Amino acid sequence: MVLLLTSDNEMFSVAEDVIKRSAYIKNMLEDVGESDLPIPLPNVESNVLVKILEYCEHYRGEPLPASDVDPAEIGDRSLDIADWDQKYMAVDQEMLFEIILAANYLDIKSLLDVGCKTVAKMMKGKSSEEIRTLFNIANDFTPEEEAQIRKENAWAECR
Amino acid sequence: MRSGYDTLPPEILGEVFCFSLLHTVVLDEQSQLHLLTICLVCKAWRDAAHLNHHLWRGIGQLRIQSRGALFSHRKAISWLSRSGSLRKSVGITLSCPLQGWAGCEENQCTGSNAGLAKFLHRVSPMEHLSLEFSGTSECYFNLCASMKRESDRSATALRSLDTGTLPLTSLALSFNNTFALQLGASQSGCLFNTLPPITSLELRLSSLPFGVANPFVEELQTHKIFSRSILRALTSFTIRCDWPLNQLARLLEPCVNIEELTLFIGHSAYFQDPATTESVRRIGVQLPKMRTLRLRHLLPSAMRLLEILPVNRVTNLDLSFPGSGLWETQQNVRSCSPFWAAFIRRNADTLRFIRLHDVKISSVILLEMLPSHLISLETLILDRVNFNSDVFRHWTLPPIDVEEGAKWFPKLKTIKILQAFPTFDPEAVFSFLTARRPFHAEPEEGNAISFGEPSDGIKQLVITYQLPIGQGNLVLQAADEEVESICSALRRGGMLVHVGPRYLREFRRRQIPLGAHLTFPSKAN
Repeated sequence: MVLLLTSDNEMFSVAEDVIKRSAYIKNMLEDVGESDLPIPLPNVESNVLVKILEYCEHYRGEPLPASDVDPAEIGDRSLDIADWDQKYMAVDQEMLFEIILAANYLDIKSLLDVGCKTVAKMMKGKSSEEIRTLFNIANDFTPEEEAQIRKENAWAECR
Repeated sequence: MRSGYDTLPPEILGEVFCFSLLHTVVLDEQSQLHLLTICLVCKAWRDAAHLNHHLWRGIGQLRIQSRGALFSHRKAISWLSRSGSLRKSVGITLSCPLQGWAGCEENQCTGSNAGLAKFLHRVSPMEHLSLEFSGTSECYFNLCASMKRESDRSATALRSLDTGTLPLTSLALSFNNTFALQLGASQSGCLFNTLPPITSLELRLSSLPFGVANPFVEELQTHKIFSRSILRALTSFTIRCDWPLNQLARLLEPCVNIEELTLFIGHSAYFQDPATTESVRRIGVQLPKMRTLRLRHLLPSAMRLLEILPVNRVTNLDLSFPGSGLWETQQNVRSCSPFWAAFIRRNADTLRFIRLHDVKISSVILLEMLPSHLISLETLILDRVNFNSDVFRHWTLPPIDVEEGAKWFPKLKTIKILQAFPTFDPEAVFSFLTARRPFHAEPEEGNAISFGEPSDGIKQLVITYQLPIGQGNLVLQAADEEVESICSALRRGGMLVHVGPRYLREFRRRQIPLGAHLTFPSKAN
């Protein structure tokens, strides 16, 4: 078992084959070896870790995705999300972003991708204004700055 | 708890943007607009987008519509420069007002657009350039002349498409005028004597006027389009045209270094004449290095091509058919083509990858197309193929024509059934997989999965479904519990398994008010 200590001082005891989906933890266990000391996770709160562990538990025993694929070389990336992952990601926005951050911190590539895809799907087909409303983002551009961005990217008169 | 998008670091936002664009190598116009939308959300998003170089490495569908059209080369170069040192791709479409026999006057041709010449003269080295001309090859040469003038005007080193001075490794040339190459091909030399130092070329031509006896077809001199030195340097060649086989053969004859060949086949009528086989053989095409063959829009009658191409060490075979309907309307498609069978026999020892796309195939033909002597097959992709999954049950049985104890496709690693019909039943696929590696649950050990055989070579299964056509609400089908448990067991056995999601349409009866003279049959009786 591996001990994990969250930022709100909750201790979790987790089976090694579950948490090894996190490349961060896996590397740490390989580097440090067996230890009774908990691994501190200062960037992850307990309620988020519960959610992360739910994901790791679901995919327990499954082979880890190949790490030799350079995502930059993948030209066409599908927005398909598996059925279970869709249900898993049916959380409020706040939790969604926390899961993405935790997946990034813990280096769980497949979960990070699912999170990014979920946000990308939410944005799809929306205008700048609609995206701002969706994510509660303030428009910090002046009208002149907006016009400048449009102008910079209009290359030809036909566009 | 922190909240919202503003907690996401720019590199993650950049990943989200990549996913939202889907095609990030070369952005089409819609994706470019979406990227602009992203940049207009707020400064943090704009900066995050600018930090992700992958978003900016390609411009597709850059349209120039006249010689005098305003085109700001600085803005386009600025866009591409955000991709840093990544290899860049650009696609340019030139619509020329003059599109006929008379060719293009330089002073009116869109190819002489000054902004375009400046762009191509100053842009940093590109990986790929695609030029689509609505007119003839004269537009191309007007563009070359315009680039040379720009070199003279700016007193910089010569950079033009027809001098080998434009740094480029891949070029696509498309001419939409039927007569695009004929005027030039009738000249004494070759139409294209020098191109940039490319190793990959794509040539796309509009359809010829239909008919084997057509004078335009007779006058084609495909061996005079590109110089032999250009063709000899190619390792990848894509041809989109509907030339007769013997004309294709003349074009391919010097291509001795080709490793990848992609042919988009047009009118199949040109392939039906058996006499062409002999004339093609006399031309003596040799493709000794070819390992990847892609055929597109392949009709049964064009299968003859497989006999004519003199290749016997193909590793990757990728065939796309013209959709279920067209394939079925071809006559005599009741058995596998003898040309296919012969091709597979010649290449069986080396074929590692087979992809079939967009076709309806009966089980009998599919079994004939994928025979048991494909002993090197590692990847099988059936993409939008309408077939009966029972073929997988057949593959669970030992093949009868090979040695005892052998199995079908012993080196198979990946099975992808993509865009399957919504009614496709995956059970037979799982029967095949479980036969390859039997397992059972151990009740005494909390139903732990125990595999009875050594690990099989199959490491990946992907099944995705098409959305059903028609009307009605899309309803997500609940995953079959038995399939889910097999998936789970296979995952524990080390296989990457992805299935679904699968949607079906739910039809809702509309309540149609009955008139006084109408009653339900039961009531009427």
